[in-house]
Amino acid sequence: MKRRSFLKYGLSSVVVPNLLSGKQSMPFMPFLNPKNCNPERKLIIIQLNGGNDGLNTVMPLDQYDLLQSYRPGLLMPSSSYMPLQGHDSMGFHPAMEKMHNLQSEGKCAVVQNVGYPMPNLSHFRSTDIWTSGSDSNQFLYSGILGRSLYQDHQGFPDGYPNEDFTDPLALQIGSTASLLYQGPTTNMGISISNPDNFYQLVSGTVDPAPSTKAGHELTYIRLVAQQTERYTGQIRDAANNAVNLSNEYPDDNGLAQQLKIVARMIAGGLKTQFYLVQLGGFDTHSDQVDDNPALGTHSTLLNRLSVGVNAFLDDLKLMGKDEDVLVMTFSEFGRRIRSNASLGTDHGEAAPMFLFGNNFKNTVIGENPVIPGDAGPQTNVEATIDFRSVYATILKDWFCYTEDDLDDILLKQFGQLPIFNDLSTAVAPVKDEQRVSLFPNPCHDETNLTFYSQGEKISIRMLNSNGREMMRLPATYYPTGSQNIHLNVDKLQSGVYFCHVQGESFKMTLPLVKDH
Amino acid sequence: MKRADFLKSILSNKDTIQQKEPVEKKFQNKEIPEFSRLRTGLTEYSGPWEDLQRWHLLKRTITGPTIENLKSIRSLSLDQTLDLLLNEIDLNPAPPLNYYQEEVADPDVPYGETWVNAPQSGDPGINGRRTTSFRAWLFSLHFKQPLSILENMCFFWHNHFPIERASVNDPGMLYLNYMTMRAHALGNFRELVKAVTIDPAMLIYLNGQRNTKAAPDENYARELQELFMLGKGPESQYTEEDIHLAAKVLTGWRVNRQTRAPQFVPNQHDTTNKQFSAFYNNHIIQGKTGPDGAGETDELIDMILQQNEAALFICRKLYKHFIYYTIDQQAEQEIIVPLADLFRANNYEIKPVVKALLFSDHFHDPLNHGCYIKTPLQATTGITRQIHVTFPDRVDLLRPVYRIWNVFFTRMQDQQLELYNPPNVAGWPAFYQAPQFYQLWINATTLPFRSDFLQQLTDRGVTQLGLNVRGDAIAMIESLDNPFDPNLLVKDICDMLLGVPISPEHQTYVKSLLLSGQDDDSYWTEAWIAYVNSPGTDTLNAVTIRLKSMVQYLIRLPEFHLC
Repeated sequence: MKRRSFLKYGLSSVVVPNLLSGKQSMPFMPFLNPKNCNPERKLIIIQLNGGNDGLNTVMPLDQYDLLQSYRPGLLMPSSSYMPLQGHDSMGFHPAMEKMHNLQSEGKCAVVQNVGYPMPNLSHFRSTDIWTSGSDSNQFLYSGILGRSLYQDHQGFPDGYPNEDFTDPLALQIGSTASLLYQGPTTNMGISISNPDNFYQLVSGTVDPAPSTKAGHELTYIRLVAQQTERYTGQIRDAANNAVNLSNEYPDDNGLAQQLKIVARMIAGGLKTQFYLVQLGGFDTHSDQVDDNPALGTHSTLLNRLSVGVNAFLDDLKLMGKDEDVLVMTFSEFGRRIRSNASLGTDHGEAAPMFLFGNNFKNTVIGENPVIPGDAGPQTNVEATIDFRSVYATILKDWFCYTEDDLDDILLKQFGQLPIFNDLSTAVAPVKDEQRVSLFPNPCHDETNLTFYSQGEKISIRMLNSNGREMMRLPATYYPTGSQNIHLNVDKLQSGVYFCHVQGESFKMTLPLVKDH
Repeated sequence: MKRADFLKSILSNKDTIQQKEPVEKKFQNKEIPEFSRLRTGLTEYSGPWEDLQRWHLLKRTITGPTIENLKSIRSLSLDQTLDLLLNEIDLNPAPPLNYYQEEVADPDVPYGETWVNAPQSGDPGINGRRTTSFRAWLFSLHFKQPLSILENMCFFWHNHFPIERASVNDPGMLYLNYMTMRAHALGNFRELVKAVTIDPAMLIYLNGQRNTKAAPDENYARELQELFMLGKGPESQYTEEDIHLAAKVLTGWRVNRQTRAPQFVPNQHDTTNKQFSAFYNNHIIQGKTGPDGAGETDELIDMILQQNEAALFICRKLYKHFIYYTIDQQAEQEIIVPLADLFRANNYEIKPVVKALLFSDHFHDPLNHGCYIKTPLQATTGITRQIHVTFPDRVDLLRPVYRIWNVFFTRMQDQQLELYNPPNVAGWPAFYQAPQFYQLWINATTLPFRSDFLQQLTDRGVTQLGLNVRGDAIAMIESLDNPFDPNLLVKDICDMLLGVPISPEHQTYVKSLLLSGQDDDSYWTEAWIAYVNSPGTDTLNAVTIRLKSMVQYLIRLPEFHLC
């Protein structure tokens, strides 16, 4: 089944007449989905432009001495690196103290040695590979998330925005028309040209038009453009609906400022699921570190990332949105194992990716990179995980795309990674129709009722199609969290029933079809 | 204040403006600014003649000037450039062809041949295809225009002497009408009016062919004075009786639909003497009998041209076409009046007047830069030229090519400019409807059409019958002097596409699109050199993706719609 069908019905109320066919008709589909996919989920992608030095980000402490010999002047004492919780052979750069805290809380996951076969060391080409999801020798003119969105929105932009999709499908801050969002026919993303312009958008100010005839005409066109720009109002309203609650955002951190905007939009109710922000400057060919290897360009950048993401997550938590948000970093490549003569590193291959969220099964995926004993000037960290596996995992586990969808999006099959907890038990308390599910449905002799309790008394009744009560579980206190109750319905005749679930905070009726 | 200082204070020094007007709002300038500008008149411009001025001239005279166009005039003076623009005239472009034989068989015209000389078809299918061919061809003329003002002038005169195609219902006559405009576009206004007056399409459109001595039809006689030759200004004092008399003068013209030629039918002509009002100095046009009656038409036109108002009227219209839509008192006195004198002194030759206007200090006044809202022709056909969309010139591909040309024509129609279908006999309101004028091109309906289609051109392009055309970002920049320098590249492309310069900070942002967010210019330089040294899919992709991103951003800027 295509996800778009699921989404279409998942978001609508139950359509009773279709029940009477007795078949496994569409309106049942959402309730058949064990993950009960949460439409509030977002993915925020942080693009680290320039090629991040993974070895200096997550130090393989078990091979510290060897790496030290390859990178004179670049490494701090091994004790400076902060060993990861449960993985003390890996150490975060000390500039990433906040990320280290997040990792120990289970909220930051490292995916080691991510790349792709036959790596290309050109910035542009490798960026295009990462965003299009192509093979190294393949040229795609669409992007991974563009194709993902295309699964559900083939007609875009005709007829958008509309009642069901009032908000941009994907947003980008910091650049325009990323290949990442390019669909087969059109770009599915909306770009907010840069944070400064975004402030203009939100605050309604812009550089003044000159006091000339040209300025007069420019003013007029701006007015019309403002009226017709798709989504401008939605974006501005969302940003104005919320205020940032965290005090952790530093002013001099461009990434933090971009994330601050994203947090406001999310808290303000923007339904957009994909956000792309950028942090540049990772192309550290020279002076990657100062005389003190704890300081310098790379340290500053890692600190920005760490502090920026931490502020963002703190903000989301204060806003009650942290359950819905997943953050992912990527960079077009890592850097060379051996440093060069100018206290820098040249373009390399694999590097770690970071994920941030509340639902990780593991905080480290993969092993430390293997530093060869005979590394030459061209030797690189080899990829052991394809970046498309990371996308496949996120698209399937986080966004509930089906295997069929993944074939269309990634064009080949990629293994999935044990990143997430079973998200079906991690669903946040959301809309009523999403907080209760019956599975299987239709059923034979038994089915499972899942609902989310706010810590309240809940009663469960089963009515037949004439409204007569056929079963009853008396009101019982259920602690806060997702609850699963096994219902034995073998006494019921085959037919259509309605399961009433009533708590103090909610009331919900679900249809149930009992087969022969 | 010195002129240079004055201009500097207006154009570049934001601080000065902010001191004058401390509260800057996003949409200031709702009123057209009225400040005493320095005097710039019809005197020949002798200031700097650099790319800034070259772009200004090119953008106002040809549709969608390209980098190549700019470079080709760098070795010329302003004077030489104007001569080139005014004299590079192709009066006989290849006519529109039968592309449609596979869709509707035309018994009179084989595939690949022109239908313009074939008899009018009674088959609506064939007529419709010929009309489509004509529309497509009109687009192609604008698209293919050389470094010449001719096509622009054809549009000027078509807007001045419009025809609504449905009333004529013969694409062959529409073709002849356009060729009449073209023949006289840079010729003599007197001859142009005379030709238009008995142009078969016009005789049908404004009922000239129904104008008989028994029942004069005043339609053309009225518009000839009100819209075509004198206007409705306060000095234009012709009377209702003058209209009535002019209608009588014009009686007797008919159209032979077979030959598509005007015919004068003496026995339908009013042979009485026609004495006009005091506005025309009580001039009497003596009634003539027989074939001589036709001569009264020329006499009428000559009589009207003796009025000062005629030259003033046309010069005002040229001003609005080339400079701006408001003509203040100073411009009226210092531009329009001397220009009209020149028009009369040159016996209504069009070229000297256009040249004087485009040569003037006033035209080149920086205050007149960037205030012209691009017509749909300039926006759509212009960008098509500027981003180097190309169409195959192959007989076997006529059908998809014509269909694609027609798509372009239709997209301009969406933007409310459909050649040969103006809203009414006054032409397009953008050139006359106060107070908005050019602004009428841009509204909540048309702006998305504009932006979306231009974006489509840079992206998936247009496809018909398997033939796809789209922009070629590489070709767009290949002839730049410094395509490898992202700073100069951005500046040059902004200069070409935008009517108002964007701030250096904004240009830096545009550059970041070329750099994919990287912070070193060499990323672009290396990518470009890699492409030049070994053009292949990978190197091509790397630069194309980024150029596309840049162009797509620029065409969404409000500044793009100005020139």
